Amino acid sequence: MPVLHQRQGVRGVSHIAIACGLSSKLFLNNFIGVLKPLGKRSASCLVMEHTLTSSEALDFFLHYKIGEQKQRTSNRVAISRSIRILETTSRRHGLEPSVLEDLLRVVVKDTFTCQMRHRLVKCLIPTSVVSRNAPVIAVASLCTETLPPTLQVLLVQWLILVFDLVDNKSDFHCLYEMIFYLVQFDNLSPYVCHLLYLLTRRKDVKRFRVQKLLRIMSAQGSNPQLHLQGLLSLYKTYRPEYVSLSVPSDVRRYFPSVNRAWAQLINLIQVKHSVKCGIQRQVAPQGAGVLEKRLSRKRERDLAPVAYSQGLSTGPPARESSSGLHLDDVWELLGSPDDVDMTDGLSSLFGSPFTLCRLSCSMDDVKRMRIDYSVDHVLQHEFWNDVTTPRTLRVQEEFLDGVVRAQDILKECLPGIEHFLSRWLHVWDGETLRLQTLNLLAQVPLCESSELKRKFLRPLSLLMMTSSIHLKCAVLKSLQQLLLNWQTRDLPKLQTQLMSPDNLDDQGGVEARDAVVAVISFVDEISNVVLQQEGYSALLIHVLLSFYQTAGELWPRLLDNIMIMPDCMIYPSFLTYDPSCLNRLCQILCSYRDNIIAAKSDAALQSRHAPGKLSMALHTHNTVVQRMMGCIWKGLAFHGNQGLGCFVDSSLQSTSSFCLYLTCHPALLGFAIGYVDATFGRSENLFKDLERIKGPEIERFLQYLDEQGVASLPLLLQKTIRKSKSSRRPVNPLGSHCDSG
Amino acid sequence: YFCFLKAMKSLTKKHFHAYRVSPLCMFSYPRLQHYAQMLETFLTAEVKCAGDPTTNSGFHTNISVFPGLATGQRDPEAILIQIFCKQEQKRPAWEGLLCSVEPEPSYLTVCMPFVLLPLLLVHGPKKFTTAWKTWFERTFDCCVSPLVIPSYELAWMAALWAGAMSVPRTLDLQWSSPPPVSDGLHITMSVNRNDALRLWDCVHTSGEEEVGLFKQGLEEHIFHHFHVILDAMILESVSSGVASANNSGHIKVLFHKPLVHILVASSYLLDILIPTKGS
Amino acid sequence: MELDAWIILRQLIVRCRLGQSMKLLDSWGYMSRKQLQNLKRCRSKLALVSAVGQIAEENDIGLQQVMELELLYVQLFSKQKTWRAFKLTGPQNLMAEPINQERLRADLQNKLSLFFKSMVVVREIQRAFWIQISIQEKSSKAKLRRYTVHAVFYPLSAHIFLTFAKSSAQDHLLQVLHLALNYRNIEMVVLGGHCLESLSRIVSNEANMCGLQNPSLAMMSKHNIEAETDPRITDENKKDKERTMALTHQSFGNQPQPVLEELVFTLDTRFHGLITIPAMKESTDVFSTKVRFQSKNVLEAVKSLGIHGLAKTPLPYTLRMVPQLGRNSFRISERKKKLQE
Repeated sequence: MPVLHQRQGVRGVSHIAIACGLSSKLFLNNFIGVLKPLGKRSASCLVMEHTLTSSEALDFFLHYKIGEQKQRTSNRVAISRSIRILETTSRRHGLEPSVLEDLLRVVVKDTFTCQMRHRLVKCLIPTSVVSRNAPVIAVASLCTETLPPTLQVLLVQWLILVFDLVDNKSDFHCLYEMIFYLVQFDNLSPYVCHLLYLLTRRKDVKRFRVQKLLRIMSAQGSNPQLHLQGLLSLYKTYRPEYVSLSVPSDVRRYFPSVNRAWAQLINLIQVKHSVKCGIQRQVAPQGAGVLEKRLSRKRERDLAPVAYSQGLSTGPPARESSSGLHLDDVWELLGSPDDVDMTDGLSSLFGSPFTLCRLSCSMDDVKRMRIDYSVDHVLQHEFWNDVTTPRTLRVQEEFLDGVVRAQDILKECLPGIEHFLSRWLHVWDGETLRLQTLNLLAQVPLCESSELKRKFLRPLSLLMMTSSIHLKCAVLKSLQQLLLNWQTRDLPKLQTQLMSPDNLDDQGGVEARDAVVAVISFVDEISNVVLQQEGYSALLIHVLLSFYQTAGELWPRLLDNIMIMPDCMIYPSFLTYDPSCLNRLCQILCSYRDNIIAAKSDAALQSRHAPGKLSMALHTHNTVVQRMMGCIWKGLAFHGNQGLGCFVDSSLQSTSSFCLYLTCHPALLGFAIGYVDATFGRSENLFKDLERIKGPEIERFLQYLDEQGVASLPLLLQKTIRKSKSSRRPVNPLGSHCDSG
Repeated sequence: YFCFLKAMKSLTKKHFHAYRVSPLCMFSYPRLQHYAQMLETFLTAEVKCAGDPTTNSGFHTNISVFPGLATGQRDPEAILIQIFCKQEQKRPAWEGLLCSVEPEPSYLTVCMPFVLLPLLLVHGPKKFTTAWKTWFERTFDCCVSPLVIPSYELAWMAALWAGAMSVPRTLDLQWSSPPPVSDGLHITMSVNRNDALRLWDCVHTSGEEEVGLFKQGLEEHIFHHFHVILDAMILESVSSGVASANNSGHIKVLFHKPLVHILVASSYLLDILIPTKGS
Repeated sequence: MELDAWIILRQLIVRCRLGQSMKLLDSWGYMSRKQLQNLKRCRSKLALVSAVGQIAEENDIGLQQVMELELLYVQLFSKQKTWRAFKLTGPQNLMAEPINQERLRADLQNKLSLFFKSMVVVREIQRAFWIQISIQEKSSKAKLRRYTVHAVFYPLSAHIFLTFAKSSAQDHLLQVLHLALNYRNIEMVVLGGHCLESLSRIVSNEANMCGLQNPSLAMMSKHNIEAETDPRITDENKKDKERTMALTHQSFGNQPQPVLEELVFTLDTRFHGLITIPAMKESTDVFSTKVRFQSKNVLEAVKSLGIHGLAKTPLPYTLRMVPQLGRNSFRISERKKKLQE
């Protein structure tokens, strides 16, 4: 063993120990014997210091139990070495949140001496965050009055320093009242006031608290308590009506200054940690900077508390309405007060559908105008001023989406939007903001037909002529949606205003009818052109058929003319290659038939419709059906002067009159062949096979069609053709009632 | 009359930013003092948040009616908002003027409880403007956004000021090139005052649409010399002895002597800045 | 080291970025390789400044050397200054010896000392002489203020570029310069700007006419019209566009244009907007206007005006021939529409 000079001192021993790298216990035993003259305690703790890890030190503290009286000396040794290790660790790296919590628990227990606990508290430097339980533990212990007073003060100071680092402050806020209770204690008062200053939000300011503070202040007498004044000044900022006291303005600091060294240490650890995590953070200058930074961050979310309710209400509100109506989920919606104070303006409104829902229940003119003006202003600013860049386009899209959603929930169209849309349609290129524009179009309110035509339909017609098939379909779809919206949204409102809900002959009703008629006639006119332009594409026909289906189903009672589809729509659908189009056509014709029959039987409706209109509808229907049946059933295509003729090239017309027969119709040919395959099996001559489908086979063929999904055609045939045993001639059952009405 | 003149004079020689304001909800004239107090408290709170919470830098605000600008029949009176820092009580650190001078009749029909003061002129540092704007938008549920003065309006103003000038200063017009031109080109044209006046007189006598002709005349002159089509470029700013304005809403009115002129200039200035709603 | 020198040194180092300051110090030549290596280790500017200060102390660097560093700084960042062109005319004394850096410096120093208290530094960089004249003068507060004038002399083109100098000093300076450089006379050219290379290109091209360009390059660039990749767009005026491109290339050439920041035209002609306002035909008075073209690169911008349809090609003589004319301020007056100098 190396000979040690006594003069080398204690440090030399430890260096040698490291240099030798021997294990701790062995060394201790050997060296204690050798180094007895140096003092056992210092030697042992020095040797052991460098080989004990921080977790072991921690464990020591956590699991230490009073009562082990026997090795008091070594206890003290162990305690002091552990605390030193802890201190160095916390100063270098800080402590993890769970560790902090555990140590805090140790502090509040009575296990160690006051001095030791002081040192432990000073060690509580967080690495990253402080868990939410830590303040709870601290405050709980403060209120039990079991802690020595100096320790209490230290704990509060610690809370102030790590306030910003607490990750979830909801528990902390719940403890407001408990912390407030501590204000009355003189030694704690300044620090507690400081903590409250950080913790207070607008809703924590209550009258009774203000009164208590004032009482305490007056009890102090003439000795001005700056910290109480500081807290009061904050209360005054939030609620000036509660605090009438004037706060002196020449005070520089309300609260006692923090322990700068401590604060700086915490800050440094934070920076280190954030650098390690790669987060960019500026180093706050000095300890005080931590305070200010924290305060500014805290205030950000709770800003401008003063002018809120007072701006809009004429006097103090009877009940505290929810500040800044912003509801985030259904539960808030159900729990929010009835009295809605719309303070936050447009952005929060459009952000949350629940807010809008609440608003729609209590909508009045003033609120509507407010929203309208704001929306109008924003539209002016965003749409008619700037050059469009990709960024502005996105902003515009989002805004319009928000508007569409809002109008959907509020179930009304803002006048500013209507105006904007009409201007926009005049300059629209069909592509920019297409989705939003079409959505807005579908939400246009019911208005006078001439205005409708001028503002919306005319620019649309120009656009439709010159755009791709997809835009055409999109516009037609939105017009269909428009009719639906009118039905669900505007018509009920109208009906409540009219004297007799069923009778729509009043002014409002006539307007509504005119508007619908305007839209439908627009589509009639345009369909002729677009169908020809697009070569009778199946997609377009489908879209148009959907439109007419909607129109026909929704407004049977409103409209004079029940038979809505124009010829240019019917015959091309009949002549199409697509079986689903044919199917739909038949479906629509069936529904017309039902409507007419219903109209005939309902005396009230009959009286409303102008006398000749019903019979005209009847006549039109009959003609169409007759012609169709003539082709499909009788096999007499293009026979005589039939409207079909103008849709088919004359050279083709003379080929065969059977070309549109049930089994030979271009749309149904596929099914016929399928049927042949299924029943007889195919032979070499296909046409012979097809000719075999007659007589009783036709019934089965129709059933087959039904199974294959072309259900409406058999239905139509069934309804319109009365089979007599004698002949196969279709007799139109409606024909006999031509002159009624 | 004289205090009116003084008030008008106080508007001149200051560099204003113009903003558009949507109708204000529940703004009542009798409560102006109350609003001033609220604004003061708000600003104090803001400053407390931003800096050291315990120091106190006071503000004093004043909101008053500014007479003489409400020339139209249904115009509400103009409002002047001033923010003074505690240190300097005489000169306001920030001034805002809300006014409505004969806006287009087809604009929003506004009824109680809304008040329409669509034009805002602001003079002062930007931080005050943002702070004030937050408070204002929240209190009265309105929107404040910068006013963009389009090129044709600037041309209009140029023509008008050419005719009204008696101060020996050139009429300056500045065009900027649209984006495809590399490196962004600015063309500034300075016309001598007398020549501009002469041109304006000639245009006047021709009887047709005067403003358009004035602008076109100048553009043709330039085209003749440089073959540059100024019509295709964006007129960015106009400045003269009477006043100056530019695209992003900066306005400065210089001329204060003949009152008639300034009224004409300012009311036209304010009038045409109101966006028209009718299509 | 003197305080002044130290202040100047510090200012220079602080003004430029770390990487650039290394380059600067390298070209200065007053620091050994080893010292420069040491400097490379400095991470922050403040550390660099103190290190440089230390090395300067060690190497015993004086005000003269620091001024040389300043000159090098100006050479590196010449775009920060506005340069004006001056032409040196008059027959040169052909018997005189060719200009040499040291001699020039001594010559200038001697001559200038007659007029003001000054310090002259000359360096030859890339076949041009960079001169820094630092003049000390008494300002009103009895404090000595110093301001510098920089001059760049291109011996091949007999032009010299100067930064701003007070008018009182300028005359003396010009006199001294043309004497020292062995010329009879010195005249101001109405040409100024920030980009020194462009200015020197313009003055050196003055003798050349335009039109000297590579014809094959011209053909190639014609097809380099911004490719309209969108097939839905059809160019109806393709011929016009091609014609415009051809004319533009003919006038401006293929090379990138020299960088000028401003073109000023003073027009003293009659009013020419007569189609719009025929009433102005009667007045024969001059309609005086001043037109200023400003841009980061005015000539490129003007060139692209034609290409983008904002100007009618061919552009007029005044806009096309700017590099050839060698000036950026023009006066156009009525009589015979002749350009007057």
